[in-house]
Amino acid sequence: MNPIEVSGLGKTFGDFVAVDQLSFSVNPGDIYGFLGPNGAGKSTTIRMLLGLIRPSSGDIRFFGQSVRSGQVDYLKRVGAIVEKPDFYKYLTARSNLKIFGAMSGADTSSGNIDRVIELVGLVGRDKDPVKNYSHGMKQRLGLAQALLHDPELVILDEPTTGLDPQGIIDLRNLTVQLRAMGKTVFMSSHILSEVELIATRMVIISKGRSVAEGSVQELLDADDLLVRFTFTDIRKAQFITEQSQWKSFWTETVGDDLIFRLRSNEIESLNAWLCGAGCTPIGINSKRKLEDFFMKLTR
Amino acid sequence: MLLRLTVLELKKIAARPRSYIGFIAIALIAGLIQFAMYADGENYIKFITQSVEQSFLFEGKIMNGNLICFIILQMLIIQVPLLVALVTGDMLSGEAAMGTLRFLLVRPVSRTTIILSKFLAGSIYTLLLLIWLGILALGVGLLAFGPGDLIVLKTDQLIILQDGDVLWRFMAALGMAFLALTLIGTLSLMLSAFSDNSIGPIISTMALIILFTIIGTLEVPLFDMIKPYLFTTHMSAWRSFFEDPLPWSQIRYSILFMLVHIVAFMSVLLYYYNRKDIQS
Repeated sequence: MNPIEVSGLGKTFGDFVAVDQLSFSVNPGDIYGFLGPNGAGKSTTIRMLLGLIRPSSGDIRFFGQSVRSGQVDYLKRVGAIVEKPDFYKYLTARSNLKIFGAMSGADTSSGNIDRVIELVGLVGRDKDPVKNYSHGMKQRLGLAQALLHDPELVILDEPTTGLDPQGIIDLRNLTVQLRAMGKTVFMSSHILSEVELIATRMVIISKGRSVAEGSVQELLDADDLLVRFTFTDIRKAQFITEQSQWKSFWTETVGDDLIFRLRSNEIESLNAWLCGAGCTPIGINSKRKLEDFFMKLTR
Repeated sequence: MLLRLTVLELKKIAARPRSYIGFIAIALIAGLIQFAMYADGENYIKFITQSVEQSFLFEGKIMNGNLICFIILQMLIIQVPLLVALVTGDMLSGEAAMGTLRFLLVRPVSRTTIILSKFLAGSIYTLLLLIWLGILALGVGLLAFGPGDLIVLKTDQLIILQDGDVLWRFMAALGMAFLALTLIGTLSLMLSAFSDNSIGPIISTMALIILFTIIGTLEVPLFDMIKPYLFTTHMSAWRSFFEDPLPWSQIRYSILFMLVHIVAFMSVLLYYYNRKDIQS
């Protein structure tokens, strides 16, 4: 049974359609990326998954159990961070974990709390009141509360928001580690590169609708790149390109840049030809197709 | 699970500084009244008995622990609802404002259980406040002023209750006050479900109490019709236990009235909250 099956999911707030006919499925062991720009409906969907918001239409099944049944047993198998992690500021991190852990039926013994504290890198700070925590530390504590009851499925809503570069790397490593432990991870983000590095499968949504779903490999054709050549004389570059065989690879002009769709081994040839034609580029940047694909789909 | 959650809710209440405001306020006010009575109690007694001095001759120790307790209850039971609402009005909306609500509601526990645990914890907190009030008003009063018959002066009659007949009346009065304060706690808990900030439900609860109390106090024929249906009218039913003979039918009606209100407020709360979209 798949950890998550979503079919025809919809949510309206008055006349506003936040989520529209959304369908996807998460397989066991996936690191599943849930991508979309800000306001695409990611958080609303995650809130519906977790029973915080009632769907207007469609169905959600966790491990085969429909959330519409009204039962909340499935949440024993789910650990989640919904948006920014907030805690009881007047309590210590450890006391917060005890409260949330007890509600999930977790083992709240010191040993188990120590285990998750170590896993998320909060050793030595667990007895501090949460009011003294930075945002990054709260994110780590959020992860700890999500993992305390050893769930099979971990849902992370924009987990890297507010993290410093080291925090992002730590989170990435932890996510991979969770998968190695046999857990399924469902992770939302509006940053493609963040998900692309670790996700096995993903769905991209825009304006509440699914616009692409599949394995990252399917969506990412590494041989086909968008390459941006920057020139000091863009008019000359445009003119000679129009007269050449490279015209068919040229997709658009943006400011002082010509953008070509190329295979990776064609970049060098084009550069050599441009230099030979007396129009040496001052900069070359390649943009992966998936990023472009993402931008185009979600525009 | 309900019991475990209730204990967790009590721990949260115990960890919040604002939960102790009520205990401190009661101690200060009760202490102030006792000090004032200790320092100038005889003049106070003369003042309140002057209207009946021509008809009655008072002998013995009028100023005693029972009278002090009665005076404190008269003054404080009006204020205690605010102290209760300060905690119960924040139980759901405070979680929403703090951002912990979404973490709370993604647990394998139904919303009904979560709300019932908050209701129980709020009721236990209310009970503790009243026990504290009882200890300070009656316990300290008896220690400082000693026992004696309780004289209750009403507009149209004078009731003298013998010392041995008073303790159970105080207990029953505190029990009745507990019911009244539980009603206030349930009202503010219900209002807190409609809000995502802490202050709104607390102020709304107090505004309702003040409004209903004003309507209940004004001698306007139009309001006389609705007075029996205002919960504030029945919140002062604890005074009935200091009448002789006891107005049992009135007491039973007030108890039933308050219980119905508690059930009604809880039903609205559960119905609404089980359907509420959590967007905070």
